[in-house]
Amino acid sequence: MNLNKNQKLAVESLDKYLCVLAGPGTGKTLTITAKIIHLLKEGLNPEEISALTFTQKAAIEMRERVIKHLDKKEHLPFIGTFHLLCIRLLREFLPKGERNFQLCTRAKQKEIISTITEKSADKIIDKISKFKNKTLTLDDKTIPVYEKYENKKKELNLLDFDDLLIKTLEMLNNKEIPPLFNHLIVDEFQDINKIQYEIIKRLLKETGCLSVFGDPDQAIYSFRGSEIELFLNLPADFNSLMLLNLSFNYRSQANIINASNKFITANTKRFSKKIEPTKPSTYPLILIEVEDEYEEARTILNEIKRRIGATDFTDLYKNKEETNYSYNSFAVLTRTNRQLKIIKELLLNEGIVVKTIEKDADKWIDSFIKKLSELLTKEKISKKLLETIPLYDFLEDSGILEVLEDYEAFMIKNIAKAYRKGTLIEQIQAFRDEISGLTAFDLFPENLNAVSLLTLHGSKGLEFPVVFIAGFEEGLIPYTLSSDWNIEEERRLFYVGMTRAMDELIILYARNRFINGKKLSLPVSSFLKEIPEEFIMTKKVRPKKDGPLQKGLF
Amino acid sequence: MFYADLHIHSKFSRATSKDMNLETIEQWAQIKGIKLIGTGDFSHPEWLREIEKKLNEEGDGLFSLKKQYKLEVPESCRKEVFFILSSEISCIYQKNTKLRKIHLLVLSPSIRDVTKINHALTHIGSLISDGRPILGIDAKEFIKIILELSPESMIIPAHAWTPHFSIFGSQSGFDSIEECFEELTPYIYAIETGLSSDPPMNWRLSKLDSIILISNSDAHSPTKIGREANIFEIELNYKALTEAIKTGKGFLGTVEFFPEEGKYHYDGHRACGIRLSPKETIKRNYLCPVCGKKLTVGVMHRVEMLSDREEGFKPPKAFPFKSIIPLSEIIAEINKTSSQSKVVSNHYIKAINNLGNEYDILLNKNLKEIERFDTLLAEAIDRMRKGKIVVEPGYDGEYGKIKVFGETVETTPKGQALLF
Repeated sequence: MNLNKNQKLAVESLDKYLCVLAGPGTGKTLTITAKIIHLLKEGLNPEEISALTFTQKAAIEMRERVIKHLDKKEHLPFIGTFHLLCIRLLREFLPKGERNFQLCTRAKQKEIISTITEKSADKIIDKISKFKNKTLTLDDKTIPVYEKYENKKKELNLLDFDDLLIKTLEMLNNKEIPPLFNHLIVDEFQDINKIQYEIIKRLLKETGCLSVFGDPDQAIYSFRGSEIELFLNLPADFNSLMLLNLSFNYRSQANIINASNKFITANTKRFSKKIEPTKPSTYPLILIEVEDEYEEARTILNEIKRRIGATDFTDLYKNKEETNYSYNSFAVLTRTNRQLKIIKELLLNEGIVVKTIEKDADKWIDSFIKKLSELLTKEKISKKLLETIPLYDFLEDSGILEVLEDYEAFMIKNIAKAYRKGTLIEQIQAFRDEISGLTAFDLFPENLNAVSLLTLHGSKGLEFPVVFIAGFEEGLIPYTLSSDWNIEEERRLFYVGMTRAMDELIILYARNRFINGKKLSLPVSSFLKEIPEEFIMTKKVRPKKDGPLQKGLF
Repeated sequence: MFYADLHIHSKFSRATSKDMNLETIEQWAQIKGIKLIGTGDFSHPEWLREIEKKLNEEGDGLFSLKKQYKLEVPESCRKEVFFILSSEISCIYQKNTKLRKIHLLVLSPSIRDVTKINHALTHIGSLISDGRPILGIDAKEFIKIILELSPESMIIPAHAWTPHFSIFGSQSGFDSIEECFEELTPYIYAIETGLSSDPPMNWRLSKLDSIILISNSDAHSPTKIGREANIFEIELNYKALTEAIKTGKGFLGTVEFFPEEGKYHYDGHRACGIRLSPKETIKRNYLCPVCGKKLTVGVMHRVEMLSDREEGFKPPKAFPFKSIIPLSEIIAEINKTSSQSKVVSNHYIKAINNLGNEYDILLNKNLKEIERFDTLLAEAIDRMRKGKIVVEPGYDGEYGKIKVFGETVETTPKGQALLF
């Protein structure tokens, strides 16, 4: 593998506590993978290594790379999410009678809540989760709902995602689970919460090493209970902490790096880190003022069309600025999901394929697991269950994958590849545990050739040659329309959005926009002043006098 | 023996005439002398609904217009017309770091097959917004999907040489069929030569010796139907037609535009009024002498680049072809007016009424018979049949000009004189 100096240092470090500051596009996944491979080559027992990721997608990617490099599929160290690790530990260490719990997925949670109360299940689930993580006290009305919910789960032998972590920590504290790992690697450390932090500390053997990777400037999940302070306190918490900075960005052209570097320094809760571009500067950032959300959508459409060039003969002489971009070179990012609707409709109307993060992933996963369970009850198959057939082959033959969309089948197959040890039923159990943790984000069809429509949150970890950030208005970015907002987190969120762009970053703001049924005229975002002017080129889209714009409604 | 035009578009495609409905298409197919015509746009849900409503499925993969929808046709042209389910798909995708834009013609044997195909395509692109939908998938993936769902369907790269949207296009195409379709190349039996190329140009590529060269109109309005077509001598059913395209048996060749008349025969810049021969283009390093930007490289140039044989080579298995000039253009030249004028359309109708359908007039009618109707027309058609014509090649989207009597050459619409 081709590593730069600091990547190499991170890979080969023998420090007990290593913290790698890895900004956007600095080769974090590469470095982590290289480290796992390095440890294995040094002769460490795979069972004593564990790499924790925040998404299934990241885990699968790392597994693939490790497998490819080592050319063996068995005896891999654990590479997966916190939840999956907890499930594995609980299945091993819980008393026999409790071991066979099933995961209470989001869809199952909703199902239970809806039998107890008619209130919005989503809100109640969030409240209960926060309560269990000790970040919220429950109001009198929710307490009985909570109690009934817990009883129902117990009755059905279910554990929800919070239970997995809490139970694991409890057992670690009670010495029912011993420290198991000689080397723990944690990815996206900025997104960690208190319970996860404690679990990590207790899982590490006394002689073991801990390597954490992350970027406090990309911490955007405080609403899920992650605490950036945990990252920032690392040097105080671990005296001998070795701090390394991956400083070379391989993703974006220099203007994007320089502009975002400067922008994020307005935050105070951070480590000062250095990111240097390796690509020369090309285009400036482009700022476009539009009349309203409809013109915003149309402008985005036109900018995409111009870069794709003509799509049929009638376009030929209007759109001559062709590039080598295809549809999946583009992403449109907004602060809220709702803003994407108009853009999606217009693009589809013009025959441009789009992809989004589907909200009903939970349902999909549930129905897949159901189908899998049904399959197992079939007589022909139940005979095979004790044989040692690789799971992948079994799934291929079963026909269960045929009804899936290509990218769904792709994801499922990739997960299945990691299972080949033991009897089929053992493999299926482990596989089911992993599948039930899939999120909508994991199922985003990254390879599909379509324009990505994402919220700033949803864009994390992705990259695109051309990125549009729409709705750059004070109120939306930073999002001040709700009661609990935090300016530094909003700034980090915009920073994440900016740094997705490889070649071009195009930012749009509208003079007028309907938000929650009201027409608002918001000023351009105050973040604009925090980006040095030298990197920005301003454009205005002149509305046509008799164009289709709706005007003067009020 | 009959003529078949397999590739047209409905009113649901972009930039097409509102008259491209099944009734008018059937009417004009008769006027032109086309017996088998593509429905076009079967991927469009509303067009497919019209097809289901207005056509009878004959059970052998062909369709005919229900009696109650038939429009008036001059008695001299009245003949039965059959439809075949066809559609054109635009695949836009990246391969080997280059953006590719490939148009593919699809022929299908039944409504059931088409329904399955459309269902699969709705997951890939928006079918409702355009009769020729844009799909963001690799042309090879596309062919795989179609053949898995409907093995009898046939895929034919459309207007194979057009610079912007074709398999050999200079702007976003490939250098060979293999580069595009890889191991699925054996499923490509034919290519459409397009208006700007004719069989002799394609004969210069030995790699195309096993490929059948077909020709269709790609009509966007009724009067353009049959400007190019295929000649078959087979039973009238879907299976026989696809077999003829696969094996060449029963395929008698094509009716062609003079390639110089096509919009992309030569190189140039339409906006700058610059038209260049391939040699000139190379001499000028592919840059426009007016604006300095890259020239649009036309079909002839592209053939020159990809060919491995000299001009004039004729493979032993080559099929015959006939070159025509649309009748309305001939009449326009005789009357020294535009082909869209009232004079021309009156004269055209008179000719059709007296002599029969357009193909008959252009290709088969005895000259003496035409002479009795109009001596100048007979003289013009004689010259056309003998290839005694004067050409001014088309370039960068500008149609070329073909004269049978060779009067003084007009200037381009922009008023700028051409370079030579």
